[in-house]
Amino acid sequence: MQRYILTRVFQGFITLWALSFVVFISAHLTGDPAVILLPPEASAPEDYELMKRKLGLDKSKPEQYLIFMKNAVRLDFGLSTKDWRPARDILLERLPATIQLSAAGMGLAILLGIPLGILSAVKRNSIFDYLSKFFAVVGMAAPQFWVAIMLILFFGAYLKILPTYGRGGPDHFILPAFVLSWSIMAGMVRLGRSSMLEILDSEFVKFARVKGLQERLVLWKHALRNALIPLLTFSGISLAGLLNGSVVVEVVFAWPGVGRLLLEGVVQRNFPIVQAAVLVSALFYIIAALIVDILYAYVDPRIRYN
Amino acid sequence: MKFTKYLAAKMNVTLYLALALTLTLAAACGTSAPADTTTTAPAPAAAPAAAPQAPAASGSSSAPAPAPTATPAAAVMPAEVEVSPGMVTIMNAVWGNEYFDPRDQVGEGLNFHRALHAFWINSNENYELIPGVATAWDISPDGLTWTFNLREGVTFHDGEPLTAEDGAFTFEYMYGPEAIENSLSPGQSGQARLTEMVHPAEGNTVKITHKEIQANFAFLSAESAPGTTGPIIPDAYFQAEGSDGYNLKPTGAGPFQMVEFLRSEKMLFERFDDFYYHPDNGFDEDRRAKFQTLDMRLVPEASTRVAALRAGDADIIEANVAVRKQIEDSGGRIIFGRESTYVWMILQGCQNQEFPCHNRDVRFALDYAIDKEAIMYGLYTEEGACVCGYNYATPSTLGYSSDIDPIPYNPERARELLARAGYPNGEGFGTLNIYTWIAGDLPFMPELAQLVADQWKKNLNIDATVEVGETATIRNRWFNKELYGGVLLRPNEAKYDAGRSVTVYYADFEGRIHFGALREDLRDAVTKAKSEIDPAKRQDAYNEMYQQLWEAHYEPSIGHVHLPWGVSGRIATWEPWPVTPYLSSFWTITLQ
Repeated sequence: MQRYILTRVFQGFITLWALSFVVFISAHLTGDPAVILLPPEASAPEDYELMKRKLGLDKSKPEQYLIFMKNAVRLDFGLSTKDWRPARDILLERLPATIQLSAAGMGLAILLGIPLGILSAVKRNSIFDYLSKFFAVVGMAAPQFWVAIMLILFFGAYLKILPTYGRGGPDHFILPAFVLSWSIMAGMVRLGRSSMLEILDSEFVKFARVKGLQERLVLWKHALRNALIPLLTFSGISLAGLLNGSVVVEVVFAWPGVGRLLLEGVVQRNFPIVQAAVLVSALFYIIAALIVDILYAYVDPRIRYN
Repeated sequence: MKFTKYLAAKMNVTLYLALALTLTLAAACGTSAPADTTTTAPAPAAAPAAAPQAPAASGSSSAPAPAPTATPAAAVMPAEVEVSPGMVTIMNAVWGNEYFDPRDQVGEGLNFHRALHAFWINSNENYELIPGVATAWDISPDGLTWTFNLREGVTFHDGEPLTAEDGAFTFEYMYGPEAIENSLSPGQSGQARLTEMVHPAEGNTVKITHKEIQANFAFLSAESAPGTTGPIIPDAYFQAEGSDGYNLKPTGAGPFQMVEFLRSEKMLFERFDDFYYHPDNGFDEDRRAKFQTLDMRLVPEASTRVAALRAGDADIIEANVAVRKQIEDSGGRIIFGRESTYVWMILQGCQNQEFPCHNRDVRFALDYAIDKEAIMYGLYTEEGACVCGYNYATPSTLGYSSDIDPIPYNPERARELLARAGYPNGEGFGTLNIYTWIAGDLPFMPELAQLVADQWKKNLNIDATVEVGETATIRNRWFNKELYGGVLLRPNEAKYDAGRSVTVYYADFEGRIHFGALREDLRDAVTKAKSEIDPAKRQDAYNEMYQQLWEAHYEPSIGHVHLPWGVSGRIATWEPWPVTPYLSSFWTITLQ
């Protein structure tokens, strides 16, 4: 196990390095940020040269990349070109808002998604099953932007029972967390249902029933535990995705998180912000995938990494 | 059912309880903001009442001639006004870099700078420059040195008096040698390069000398300037806090003092009771706030802002005409900030003979072929737009006269001119590319471009294609001269004194962008207008310059739009200034 973890950590670093190269190249292909940052009124050549110097763009591309990498390993991603503050600091400022929303969204997804999926399988072809499936299909198909606006209009502007935007008390979490988690919830319902159905139809469950075990023991002790394994993977990767921030939800709900920061960075050609946000996002994914793999070994005794 | 009961009774509910707890904790934590971005402004001192001042001289020696205006004059307020204990929530789409340090902020910062800061010079609804912190200002006969006399009795929010030393420090910080390298605003760096020296304060006087004539410097120091060049910052406090500290805990001498700041979220201000601008200090108007609390929010998504207004979560929002009905249905209304944004059409690369637009007849033909009223009023409504003015020279700005208004729609004349230029019925003209982007400050730019293209096809048989790009990409290509032979169609913020802009466009031959086709006559016209230091003659000098630019016609003029603000039913009055794309005239906001 120890060797496996070390190998995965090493692979993670290689992935991050490759990604840093791709992000660096792709960001610089989008255009010259010095030009973009200068208003038409600041058109003197010296303005342009000064801006290039400030941005470090007066050096060659390989030199820029080496400087970027050297600093990145110390988690120094440079200064944001919007306000010339360290990109790392800005990312850290935005992270708590994203973590709060992600935790709320993930909690909601697990609280609702897993029971719905399991119950849907247990009560197969019942009205409850059909409703669950409908809920899941809509959750996957409906665009987040549209859902968010509709919910804001209905619960905020029409019923006036929930806040329409921003952070605040617990009630501020309800709409954004639901919108953020609906598609994940839908995935959990679908996955939980199919996984549970597969397990309930397996030989060992039939054997348990034939053996005369009580149905609750069959379901809880044998079926549910096995059905949760694919949900574990799904939850882990979903959580990593949530921690990277949701551009749509954070913009629509005026939530000052990482997703909104990333969008602003892309629009403004704010390379340090984009590079920092993408690399940190990748790091979240790698860590989440590793944790899920390790948890597998504990949840599923069949899996051995030796 | 059995299974449900089983789950409820026996299942390992610990997992779910833990998750529920996580959810609750996350929600409960929602009110706490990141520690290092939250700030509480310095506690306001019990500042003494501002010392009474002699009435300001009516019309400073430097005040330019009044320009026509489209808004009614504000009523003169009594010395004692009723202050509502209520809160006004305003939602903006942008806040720039959220800096309160005026040297480092860009135009968007005016949304909150006008709340926090006091300005050297104030403006009125007629766009006259009127005394502010400076009681008078003057320019030396050689046009190089500006002198400002500061008012006594003005205090900062922390209770410290605003002195001439603060004024001199502000100028040195904004325009001194360090600003060239260190300012985060490229425009500010450019202005610093033009500065020869800032003189030490003498009594109540502050002087600044430029390397070349800066006739528009008084305007740049005014509350109505398009950038944050007019605020005065406290010397001692700023030096103690540094720029970073000041940006988190700012203090100014404006009508509101900051009490809470959450980056990218919220700015909470309280009324500054000792704001100097009121009748007891000799002013004929009371510009102290008429409400207690100003809650500013950054909400980038337009739909959310509208929903918030309808829900009663906001009082004033940046809106657009498309949502007018929704706002009115919820008891609100639209108030227009007049002449806020002009539609800017720039023919690119006309100095090169290879392009048809090198021929003046072609430039006029393209303009005559556009039915501007149909397009502008169709897209933005008659109330929300005006087909008048010459791009930046809108009716309330310096140098405007009605003879530089857009030329009327005349397809016959357009065809004649095109034929005279050697392109009868569009033959041999080639394809004309129109470049534009989806702009946050002006909706329907792609639609507007397509309508122009359709009319060129219909009236001139010219094939025009519309390329809608991403803002930064198009700007990049524009600055790199990659749009030559095409047309750039973009919105731009209106400004009262466009001298600085036209200098770049027509008088800076070494610059990266120029529209004057490198013509000496246009450069001379711009230089002459900008150098006019006699306030009484500036209107005519600018008008003469605009006439020449209009005749050259490198920028066919389509018109401008008025910025629609969505206003809730709670707001009784608000009179935003014209030619001001950001929040203005807070003192005219009153609650029902």
